[in-house]
Amino acid sequence: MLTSFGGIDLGYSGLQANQQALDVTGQNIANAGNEGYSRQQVIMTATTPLYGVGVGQFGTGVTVSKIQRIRDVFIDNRIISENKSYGYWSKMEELTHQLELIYNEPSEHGLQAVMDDFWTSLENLTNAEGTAEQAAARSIVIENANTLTSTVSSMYEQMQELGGNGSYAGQKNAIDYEIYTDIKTINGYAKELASLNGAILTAQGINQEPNDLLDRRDQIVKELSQLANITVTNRDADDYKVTIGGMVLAQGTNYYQIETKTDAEGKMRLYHSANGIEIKPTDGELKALVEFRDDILSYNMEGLNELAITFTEVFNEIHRTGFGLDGSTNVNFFEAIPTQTGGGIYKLTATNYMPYATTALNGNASTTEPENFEKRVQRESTSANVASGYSSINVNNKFSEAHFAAAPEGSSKITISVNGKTYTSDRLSAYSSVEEFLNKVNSSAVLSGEGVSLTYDNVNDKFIFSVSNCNSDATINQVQEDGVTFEPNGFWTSANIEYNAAISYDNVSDRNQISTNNDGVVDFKDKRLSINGYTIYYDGSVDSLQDIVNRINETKCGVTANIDPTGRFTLTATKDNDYKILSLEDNGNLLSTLGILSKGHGYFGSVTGESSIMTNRIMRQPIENAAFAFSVSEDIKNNVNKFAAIGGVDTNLDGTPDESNGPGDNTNSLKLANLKYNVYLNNGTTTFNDYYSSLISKIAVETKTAASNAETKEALINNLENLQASVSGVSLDEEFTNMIKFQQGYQACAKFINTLDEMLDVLMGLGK
Amino acid sequence: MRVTSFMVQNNGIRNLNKNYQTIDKLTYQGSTLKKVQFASDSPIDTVNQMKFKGEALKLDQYLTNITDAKSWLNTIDSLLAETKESLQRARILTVQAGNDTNSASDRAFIAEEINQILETLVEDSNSTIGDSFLFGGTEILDSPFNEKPFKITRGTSQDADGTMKNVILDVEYVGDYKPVYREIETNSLIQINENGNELFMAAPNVVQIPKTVQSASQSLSELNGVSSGGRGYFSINDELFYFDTDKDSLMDLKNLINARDVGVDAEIDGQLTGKSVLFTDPASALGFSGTFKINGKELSVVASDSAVNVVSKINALTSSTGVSASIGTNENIVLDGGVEFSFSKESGVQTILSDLGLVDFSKITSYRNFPASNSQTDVKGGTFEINGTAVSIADNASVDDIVNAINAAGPSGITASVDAATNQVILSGDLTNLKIRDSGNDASLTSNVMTELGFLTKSGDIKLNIDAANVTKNYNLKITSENYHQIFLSDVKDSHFLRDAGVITGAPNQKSPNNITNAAQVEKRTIFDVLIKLRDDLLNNNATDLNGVDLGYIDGALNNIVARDSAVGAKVNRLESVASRLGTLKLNNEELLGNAEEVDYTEILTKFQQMQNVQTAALKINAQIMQMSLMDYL
Repeated sequence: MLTSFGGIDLGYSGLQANQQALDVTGQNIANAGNEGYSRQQVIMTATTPLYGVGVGQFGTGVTVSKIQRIRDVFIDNRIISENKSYGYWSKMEELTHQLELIYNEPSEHGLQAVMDDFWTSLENLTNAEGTAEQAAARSIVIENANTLTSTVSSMYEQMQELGGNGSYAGQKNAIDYEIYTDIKTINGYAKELASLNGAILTAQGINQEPNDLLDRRDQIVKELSQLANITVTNRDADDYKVTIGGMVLAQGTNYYQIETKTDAEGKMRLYHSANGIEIKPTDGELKALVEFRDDILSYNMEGLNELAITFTEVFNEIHRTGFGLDGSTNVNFFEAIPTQTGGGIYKLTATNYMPYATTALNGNASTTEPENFEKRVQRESTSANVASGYSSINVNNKFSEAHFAAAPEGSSKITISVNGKTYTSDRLSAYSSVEEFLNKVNSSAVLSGEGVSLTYDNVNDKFIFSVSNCNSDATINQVQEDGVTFEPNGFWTSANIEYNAAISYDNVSDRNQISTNNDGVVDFKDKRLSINGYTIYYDGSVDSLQDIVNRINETKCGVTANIDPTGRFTLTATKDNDYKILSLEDNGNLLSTLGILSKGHGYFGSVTGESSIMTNRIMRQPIENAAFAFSVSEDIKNNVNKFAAIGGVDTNLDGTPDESNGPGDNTNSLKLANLKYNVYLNNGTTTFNDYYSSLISKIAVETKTAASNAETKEALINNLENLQASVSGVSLDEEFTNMIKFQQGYQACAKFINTLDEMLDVLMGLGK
Repeated sequence: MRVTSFMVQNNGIRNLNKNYQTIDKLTYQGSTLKKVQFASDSPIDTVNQMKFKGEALKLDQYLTNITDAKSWLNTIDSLLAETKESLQRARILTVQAGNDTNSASDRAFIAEEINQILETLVEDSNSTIGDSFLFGGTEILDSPFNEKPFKITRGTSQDADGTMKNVILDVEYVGDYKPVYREIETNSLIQINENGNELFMAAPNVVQIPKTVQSASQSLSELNGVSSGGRGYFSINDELFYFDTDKDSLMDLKNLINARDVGVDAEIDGQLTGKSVLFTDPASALGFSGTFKINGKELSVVASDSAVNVVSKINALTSSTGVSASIGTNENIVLDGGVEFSFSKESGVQTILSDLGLVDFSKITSYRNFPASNSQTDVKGGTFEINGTAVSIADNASVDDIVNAINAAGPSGITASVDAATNQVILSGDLTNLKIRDSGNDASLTSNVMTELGFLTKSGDIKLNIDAANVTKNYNLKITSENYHQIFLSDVKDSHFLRDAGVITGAPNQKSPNNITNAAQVEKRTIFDVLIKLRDDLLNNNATDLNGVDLGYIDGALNNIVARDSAVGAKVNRLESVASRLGTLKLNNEELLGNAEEVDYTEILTKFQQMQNVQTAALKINAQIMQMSLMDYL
């Protein structure tokens, strides 16, 4: 049975429910523009009815049982998973586009245009007639070369700033800085997630709907998913877990952080704070950043390095063999690329010159041409690659026996050092004649043991110390007078001593001695070179040096072979092994005859193994940032006349031109201009222009792929977000309708209470 | 599906943005006419642009080079035409002057005109283009401080009838022979200058070794002044030739030089005069027979052959042997040109050559000289055979060892000995049918000693020395330039064979081609020499030469100029055909570049118009949608 005032309570519950519903509508309208907000809905339930006898149940009013968040978790999960790859591709597009902008192609100012200008100016120099025109053309070549080098190094510098190794000028490079910032964001989110988890759990514990907290959590997860490859698991309400690469970022109220450290290479790496394990991003923006930095950007930087190194090397090689207007030769056009101290071997140039590169090594016995390789190889007779000793030493001074007699008491002694051993004579005053002196010296254990004898040249009045035994390894290091000089003054002083440094290989040997087999013929059949572990067979009876060069290049063994402009065989490491020759072996005598490797010895990359390298023309690994160092040499900058446009003639048959052709000649500049057609890069298969084009086309394709993938993913995400919005989004029209609905409901309830009031008034009036 | 107004608006904005992106691209393309802004817009077009731009530059460069080359060659062409006319005029004057009706003074007048022609030619020969001499190689540039490539010596030419003062007495070429090139296509160079030392020659240059040897097959060290043990290179026209004074003979050098294309022909100059033999009538049968080889060509003599038959048999082979034969005055056979006699290993040594009086038949001697008989040689050890008897020696056996080994093995009828003077090995005894084999002609044998000593030729035949005692002969080597040019000879690096042989002077500053000794210079005649001689002959009233050699010399000069001029003309033609081909390539390339680089303007305008319509519609619709809200009606 209803009480008289029960109706007012009922009306009141209606007022309250409608007001609450109106509040929620207000909340929805207020958050209409809030991304990540899910619209809320009031769930009203009728209150427990009363039992009236005979009439059944009476309603007692309404109550708001729940304010519900409208959200589709399935779509959320889809968004999270697509967002990761959207994050990856859109970041990749941004980064590759930045790199593309650094290259600035196609344009009138890109490296391609600059290279073209350089080649054209070389051609113009080749055609220049007359002194004035020549001088102008030379200046233009050098100016264009400056532009070329500065374009390359400035491009490299921009790449370095973008994401090169380590910090640049004290600053983190842009990519590392972005990674660092992203990690800070992720860490902040991890912390926030943990506290949200706590709050949500508490709210749910007291049976509340923490709708706005849940929205916030969803929003954070969505943002995280764009940054990295995160996974969300929510098996238990109290165990909401976000992991990155399988490692926990936040679980319940616990959270972990990601730490950044710079590795040995100078690259920023990510580690988990709890266990120190490295985190390798497999998706999201972070993956794009790391992948771009480690693969794409470093590939391009290495590409520029290779371009700079190769350009410098091959251009200089030819330039050095030419002559300037002032007669200068052996001048570098580009500053030599600095090398790493103690680095591995980048390039080996044969000591000896091989004038017949295209005929079979062992020649044709039917002519009187030198029938074998050994005879055709022109040896260098400089002492540079021979041990620091001398085959003979002359003491050039007029000398007479009287001098010994006249030598005062206490006059000096003679020392001679041979192969590190030293012989010291008695004081000169102890000898009465030249003959006695000779006998004493020659009978000494040191000198006779080392194969050195002293003779006296009666005609020219001089002493000659010489290596007497041709097969001995002896070299004389020094002859000097020890102590006080006797009269006539300065007998053994350095001014009077002539060192015959030109040691013929036949006389004196050391580790650099050329060794051949008996008849000096390159061994036939089954002889093989091994370079970096690749085997290259050769047969002296049919193969020419050029054939062997081609065969080496075909193997793509990481070492390019060439015959340089001075007719010397060269081996140059490619970037594949970081510009380093790993190993070199020859079971025949090709490399030993060319003067690269000692016969029967191999080189295996170690510093001690270098004792088997015969040539002293060794270039070590270039420095890491070689493209920075790409520049025109000071010699050329200071004097345009040193530009070697003029070719020369090799009059002394050592492969190197030594006589300039004269100022009207253009053969060397023609050769330099022709470099643009020569294939030096990519194991001797690619020209400079093509190499650069391939860099450009690669980054262009990468950018295009990233852009089109990002666009696809963006469209997908948009669709998913539309789907989510159609579920969770606030529709103002809907809210306005609700507003009117709840307003009307409220007014109706108020009217109801008013009506009851009037009823009660009537009822009260009865009592008067 | 539930659609909220925000969704509609957001989607609208997104679409507007997309349209703007397209419009942005179209605006860029429309305002620059360029297809590609960033490489990623079209990687293929980007790479093509780079490629075709490079190609365009290259083609332009080649066309410039060709124009430049043509200006050189046309200048040369017109100068040569002038020279040709001058020489023709000189020829007419010479014919005229040869007429006996001319008095000495008439001829002196003509000499004046010839002298003018000479002056003009020298002037022409020193012509320049820019700072460069057309005919001077690359060494000298035209400047007041430099001498010109054709250096003249002036003086007085005097004679009985007249004196000419301050006339050119000598013209020496001091330029070099370096070519100046222009690149007209990839890896295709064209020489645009002409070498003065080729152009102004009136006859081939002939140089010979001024010393002679007894046999063309003997070691070079037999040449007086050439020492044993010399090895190295000399160069002819900058091509290297290897020699070994112990192993190589003049014959070897001749073959070597002719085998290579260096612009000279080599021949052995010399005569072998056989000793008088037993024929009274050169046409009667000789009565002996045999087979031998002359310079590697086999020849059989049968008993019915007369001396005349033998001579004609030898002459039938002249083209391949270089030897011509004739009957001498002393009932003997005379052979001109370098001769090397040999026998095949099958037939063995036969008496026929001795019968013909061409060799001595008591012994055969190895060709190779050694400094000492007891020092090591470079021969390979192993076995060889003499008359089927095997002889074994060790590696690097000395001459004495070899002789002892032969005598110890005792081949039938043969004794070995050493020539005390030259350390050559001598085989004597019964030489008939002597057979010698080593690894040079029989692969089953291991030693190459008989080849190394020179008993066997390089093709494995048994070589017969020509004895000095019985026949007179002296040989030298003569080289003749194929075209008219001076031959460049020099010793390379440390070797000094040419100097020792007296071909070039040892003076350090004498450069090729002015380093050839007077004794070696057989013939070198320039156009200037011809005109100078002509002028002087006219002054000297030398009617004999005027009617004789002078005309021939002028013809030589004319022939050369005409030949060179037509070569220059051919080059100009080639340039023109290359230029027209490159022109076509350039057009094609421009089209390709255009395709890769430029947009189709009509297409862009159309697209732009479309986009504009789309965007206008989109904006209008969006504006309408924005206005729509229930709020407006509340």
